[in-house]
Amino acid sequence: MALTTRAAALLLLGLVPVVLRPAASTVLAWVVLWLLAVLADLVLAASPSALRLTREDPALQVRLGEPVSASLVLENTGGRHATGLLRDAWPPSAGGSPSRHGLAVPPGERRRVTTVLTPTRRGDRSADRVTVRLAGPLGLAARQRSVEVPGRVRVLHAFPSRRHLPSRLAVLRELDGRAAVRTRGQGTEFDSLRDYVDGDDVRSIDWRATARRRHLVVRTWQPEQHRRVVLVLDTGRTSAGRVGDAPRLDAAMDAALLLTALAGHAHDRVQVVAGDRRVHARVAGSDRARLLHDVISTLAPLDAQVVETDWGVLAAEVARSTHRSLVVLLTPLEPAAVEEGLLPALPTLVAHHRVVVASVSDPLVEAMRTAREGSAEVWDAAAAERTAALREGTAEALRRLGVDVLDAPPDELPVRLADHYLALKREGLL
Amino acid sequence: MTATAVAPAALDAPRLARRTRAVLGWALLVVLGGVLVALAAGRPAPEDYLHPDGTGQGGTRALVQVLRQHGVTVDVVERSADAVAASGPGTTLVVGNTDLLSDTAARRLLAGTTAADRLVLLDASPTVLDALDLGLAARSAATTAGPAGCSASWVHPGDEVTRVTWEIVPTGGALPPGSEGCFPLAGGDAAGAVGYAAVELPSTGSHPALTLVGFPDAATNRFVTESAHAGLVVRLLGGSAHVVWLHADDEDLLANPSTAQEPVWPAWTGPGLVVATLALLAFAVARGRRLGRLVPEPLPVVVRAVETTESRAELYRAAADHARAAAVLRQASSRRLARRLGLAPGVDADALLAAVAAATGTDPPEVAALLHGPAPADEAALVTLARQLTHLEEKVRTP
Repeated sequence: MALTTRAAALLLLGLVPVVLRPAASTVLAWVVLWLLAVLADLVLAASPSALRLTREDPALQVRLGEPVSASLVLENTGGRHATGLLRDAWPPSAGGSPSRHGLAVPPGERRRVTTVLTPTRRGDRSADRVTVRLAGPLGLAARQRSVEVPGRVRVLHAFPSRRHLPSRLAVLRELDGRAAVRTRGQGTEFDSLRDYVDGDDVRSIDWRATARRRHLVVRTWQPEQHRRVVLVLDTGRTSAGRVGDAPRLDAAMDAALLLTALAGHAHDRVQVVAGDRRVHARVAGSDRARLLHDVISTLAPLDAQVVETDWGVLAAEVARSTHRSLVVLLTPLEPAAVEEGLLPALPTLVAHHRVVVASVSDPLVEAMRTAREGSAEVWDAAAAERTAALREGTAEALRRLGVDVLDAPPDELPVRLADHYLALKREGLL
Repeated sequence: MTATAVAPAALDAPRLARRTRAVLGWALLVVLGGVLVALAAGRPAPEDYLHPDGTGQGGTRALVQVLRQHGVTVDVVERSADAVAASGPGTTLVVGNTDLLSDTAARRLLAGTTAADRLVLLDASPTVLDALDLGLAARSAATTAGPAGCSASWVHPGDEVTRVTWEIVPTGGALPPGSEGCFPLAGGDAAGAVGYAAVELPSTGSHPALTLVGFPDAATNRFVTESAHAGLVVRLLGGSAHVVWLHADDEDLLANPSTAQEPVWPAWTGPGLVVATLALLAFAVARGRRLGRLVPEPLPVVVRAVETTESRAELYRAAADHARAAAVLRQASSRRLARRLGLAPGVDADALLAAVAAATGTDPPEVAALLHGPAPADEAALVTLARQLTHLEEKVRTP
């Protein structure tokens, strides 16, 4: 049960009879009268358990930064008019608004209550209890009940780098031969023969076919297809560090999503693995529309854990297939963590696959490095130079093993990785 | 360096004890000095009306001195309870200033001093008379009174009083039986009752012999020498060998709270307060009831990636390691210069110096001093070095 402020006001109104007849018995009589009124109101209030609550869509999905409506349907199965308040409780980061709704459901009717969620963080958010408070006819007291109505909103990665996708797809089409310019190189595969048109590279004329057909015939090539791309996301402690407002993991995910979309269009098989001491997510497929959706959805609830990454576990996941693949390791270039964890696992990977390490760098360190106005800044600059030198040393060690290293700030990394992929594809190095 | 050559940081035990004794000694000296000064100065003479030690115009010290010269012991008390305890046969109890004498205290005084020779109310004000319920009342009066006209022992026929403050009148039309009024005042009120400047009441079971005096000014230093005042009051108070003079203070008032006061609060205050408290409770319950429980937020780990670098900078600064910082800056600059000039990463220092000097047009020794010179001695030199390195790199970038 719950009292209302109106009940308190009614009790305060007892000052009038007390002033007119100042005695203890007046107080007692008024309190008894008030109690009777409150009890009567409570008895006459509609029962909250007579309201049947259903969630319209128990598994919502929304991209971070966009609003989504979470609707509840109420059916009044009782015989009394249900008036009062309803609260559909969500965690604070789900950004539910309004926090409470007014209710007026006549007997036997249904009403919909909509809470607009504007999540502020990526991940899964589960709805807490729905609380209904139904007031009596006098508005003095109310009956209250909280029930579990399961619901969840999955907040997907905002995927800001998707705006770079059209330009990279254009590059891919050039490679693919759908545009006027055709490329030829080691890594391309023989596609078909067609008549020579002005502008074709004379080196691509197939003389044997020309002799047979009596007019010029050229060979066409297409880039390699159906290659395997394995994206490994490190969700260990080094990915938890924040660069700007988001953890490094979010930037790494952004890069992974752009590469997934691009490789899907290039008809490559993409596999995404995310883990630290154990594998948290594993997505694979070749249907590019489904794949991107699956990857976004599977990566959404992942958060960086404060544990050391076990690269043995992740490398074993990659080594399940013996096909040569492009293996992209999305992990920060933290010298100690890389030297202790990643370096020992790399030689076997490099022996079978093309390995790229993509790391999120911190623009703040770069800013500290170049600011040299005063004494405080110079100490900062020295420390930043030291950090940069250590990272450079680690990158050098990785390069000596035959690994490609990309180290870029969060907003550049997806583009750099996509461009690197296209460069590898152009040269047929996959 | 040996340990014995170093003075201990903490005081050793004997020195500590000596210092403590010195501090305590000084403190004791200051306290004793203060006490001596206070004793020498004594209490200031009170300014209260009718105070037996008062030397001002309203005090009665002159009168008390005269009494003492006549061989009368005068004890001054400030509590009515002390006055009751000090009174006995052969004692005259004098109540001077009645401003701080509550009705309760006055009644207790009256009932507790039946053994005393006499109780003199030197200032028989209306409030005290109302409280004592003797069938007498007081009102403001003209300043002079006629001849004595009574047979009281302390009054000589022909005595005159010029400073009458209160006119004591019987409430029932006539004085109580056995009592006698002195110095009748001319006129009288509408009912025709005659007022007196002093009234003598004989002792009964409930009170000692009482003298109500309506001319307190006659005892003050200022007026005691006027007309026959001095003789009158000395005879009145000097009737016994021992005088107890009560000058009630505020603690006496607190010890004997008055009962006659009207309650300040209206009758409905108590019940109203109960109702208001209950309403407040109901309001608190109404507002405090939560609409469903709190929802916990799964919080992520929040670590800024730049923290390690900032901490390293803090370490450098705390250690003031100029040499280390300079070496780091020089190495970084050399690496970038080598890369920009197209040299191999592990190129030797001389080749780099020559290439940089050629690219910037500066003297090779100058470049060498910048890239391989001695470590800076202080922070200012470090800052200068850092700036010069930046400048050199810019020069190579834009020759």
